[in-house]
This record gives sequence, structure tokens and C-alpha cells, in this order.
Amino acid sequence: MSNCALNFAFANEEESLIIMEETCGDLEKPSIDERIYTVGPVGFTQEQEFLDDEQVRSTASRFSPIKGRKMPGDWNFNSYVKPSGVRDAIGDGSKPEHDVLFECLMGSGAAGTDGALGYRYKGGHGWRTRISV
Amino acid sequence: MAHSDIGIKAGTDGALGYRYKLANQLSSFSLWTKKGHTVFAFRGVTVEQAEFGISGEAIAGVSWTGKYMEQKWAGSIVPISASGDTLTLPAHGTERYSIGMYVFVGVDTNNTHGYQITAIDHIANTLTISPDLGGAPSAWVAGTEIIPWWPTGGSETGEPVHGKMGMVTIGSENCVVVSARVTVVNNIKYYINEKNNQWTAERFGRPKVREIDGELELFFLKPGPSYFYRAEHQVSNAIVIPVGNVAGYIMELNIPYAEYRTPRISGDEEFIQNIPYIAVASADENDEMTITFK
Repeated sequence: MSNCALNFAFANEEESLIIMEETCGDLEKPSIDERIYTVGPVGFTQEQEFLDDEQVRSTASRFSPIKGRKMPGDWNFNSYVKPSGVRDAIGDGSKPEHDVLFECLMGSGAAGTDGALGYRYKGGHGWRTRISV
Repeated sequence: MAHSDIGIKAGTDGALGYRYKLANQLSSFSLWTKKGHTVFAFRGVTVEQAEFGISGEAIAGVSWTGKYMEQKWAGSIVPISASGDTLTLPAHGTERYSIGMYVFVGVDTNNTHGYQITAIDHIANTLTISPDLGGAPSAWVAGTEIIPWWPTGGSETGEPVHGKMGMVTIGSENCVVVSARVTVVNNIKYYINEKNNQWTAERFGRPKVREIDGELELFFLKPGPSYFYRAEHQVSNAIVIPVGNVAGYIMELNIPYAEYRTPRISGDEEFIQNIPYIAVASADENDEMTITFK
């Protein structure tokens, strides 16, 4: 059986994985447990900077520019709001599928239990204060 | 910056479920996406913005956007030879790969871990991989492709929820809305201007405040004019926007201190009132909004 479409990449077959980085900027290798489902494909672009060669050469010709920095990239995608189906008072069972995104959006996340002690962030210097909540 | 240093494992404050709170510092993540024959990986990824769209006529969704430090890729190609730690590719074949990515060499998956590309020679058209393929003959069969590493298996958990279920409250009073939008903007800056011996930005920060705002869309009912007053006099209300009404399948956006901006009225049939608002913090800081899954 032949397959004429072997060289194509189809949007409906896209898969994505997402994993928190232990060290900022160090690429982490995820497992299948880090699978997320997007609505539509993941979009991305990272521009390469090129700088005009402004040396005067007694000509009207434009020469090949000089390679510059790799600028920060931009990504985007959509997702559904997708709760886990579990209302967990103790563990992480209530984490939604897109937990990593929510944590990176907000800064923190934690499971909740009634009447327990917890930590609340107290400003920009990284210290924590234990409070009754 | 270690993850354990920046994600504040914040409080249990009487809530059943899982709650996300705001913190000054933000974590980064790695994103991998497989587009057919090629896998792209992104490092140093952050969430710059999330826009929650919740309406009575659609599945509740989030539009995510952000930045990253660097993208890498690994494609597919039939090598000329594969032995030891060297994969020799046809001309231009190495352009389909980046250092740091993982590949399967034919059916040789290195026990599903893949082989990591540690060096690329675009002149000799070779990839150096780790670990070695092992003793000859390797599991690679001539004519079979190098393909990008990708895990298999797994199962999907959770379910999408429709925006129609759940009742918005404003100041603890029920409020039927047509739609609700909440947008969080983190105002992250990547420091690409540093002389850091790398072509990429390797650090990011947030030199400005985050901005959380939104808009409620509702029919222009008799209480509607109140929002003109509240906007003008900077009245603060707690706005709670739940999605779903079945335990385990609920997301709740809780904005304790919303201040309105001047509403708009429009419509050719029923008049619709759009009420913009901003979320502000109390003296406790970082409490403009929480997100709870419960």
C-alpha cells in the first residue's frame, strides 16, 4: 500500500507536551504524562536579527547583512478550561490538565484543605510568612 | 533560578480543590510540539498573557500567549549510515536537526529514551549522538528513517466545561451575564540586550506591574445604570466567575477587588451593557485574583 502524503504534516495529528523547568532556560524532557491538548495548533515564531552592513563602499549595491541576535520567540495556542474531574481536599487531584500554564501565569499553586495553616507570599524578596488562613 | 525558589507553594485557605495564587516571581517551562514529521522544542518559555473567554454559548476557553528563549527542532530523514555515535546524512540533512534534541534511529529507540544529538557537522553532514548505538550491527536497518523522539501511551484526563453553567456573582449577588472575559498580562521582559556570550536571551524578569482586567457583557436591565455610578466613584466589588457546577468540574475565577470602568450600551434589539473592570490588589499584595479548580 502506498501513501502519497508521507511528506505532509497534518494539523489534526499535532501533539504537545509541557513541563516545568527546574532551572530557568534549561530544556526539560517531558514524559507522556505531560501531554496537553490544545484547541487548534501551537503557533510560534522566533526572529533572527540581521543588521545592515553600513560600511560605505562607493556603490549603490546592497550587500549581505550581518547576522545578529536570536530574538525572544513568541508562542500562542488556545485551550479549553479542563478541570480534572476530581475535587481533592488533600493532594493534587484537582490540578487541571494545563496546570503548568496556570502556575506559570500566576506564580503559585497548591492543594487546599479546610482550616489548615499555609504560606502566603509577602512581597518581592522571596521570604514567606506562616499565617493562619 | 530553581523552580523551588520561585513557585511559592501557597496557602491552604479553607478551599477544597487546587488554587493558583499570584506571586511576584514566575517560573518557566519547556514546550514540545510534534508537527507531523518534525518535533519542535522550546526552552525558557513563559506565559505572558492568558485571556479567559466564558460565555453562555460556548465551551469555556483560554487563549495563551508568551515568549521563549530558544527553539530547537528534529525532523525525519533516511541516513546514509548509522553506527557508533555517528549518523551520516545526505547533503543538507543535518539542517533538519538541532543540538540537544532526541531521535529514534529507525526502530532503535534506545529503550524509548531516544538518542540525544550532542554535535552537528553541517560540512561533513553528520550528527553525533549519545549514547552510542551500541555494538555492530546496531538495530538500525539501512533505508529506515531517523525520526524525532516522542513518547507514546498516556491517557487523557478531565473534561472541557461549557461556559453556560455556573452563576457569576458581583458583590455576592447573583448576576446573569451573557459573557465574561478576564485577561491577565504579566508584562515579562526578556533581556536580549545583555552581553552574555550567547545569541539568545538567557534571563527574564517583570520590570512592571501585572495587569488584570476584564469585561462583563450583560443585558441592560434596571440595575444597569448603577455601574455608571460605580465606575465614576471607584466602587470596588468582588466578582466571582465560575465555570461549571459539578464538583470536580468547576473552575472559579475570584476577583476580590474589581473597579469598574465606564460601561458601554449598544444593540439593535435588546440593549447590551458592556462593563469593563480592572482587578486591583489590597494592602496584602498579590491578591488581585485567584483561580480555583474544585
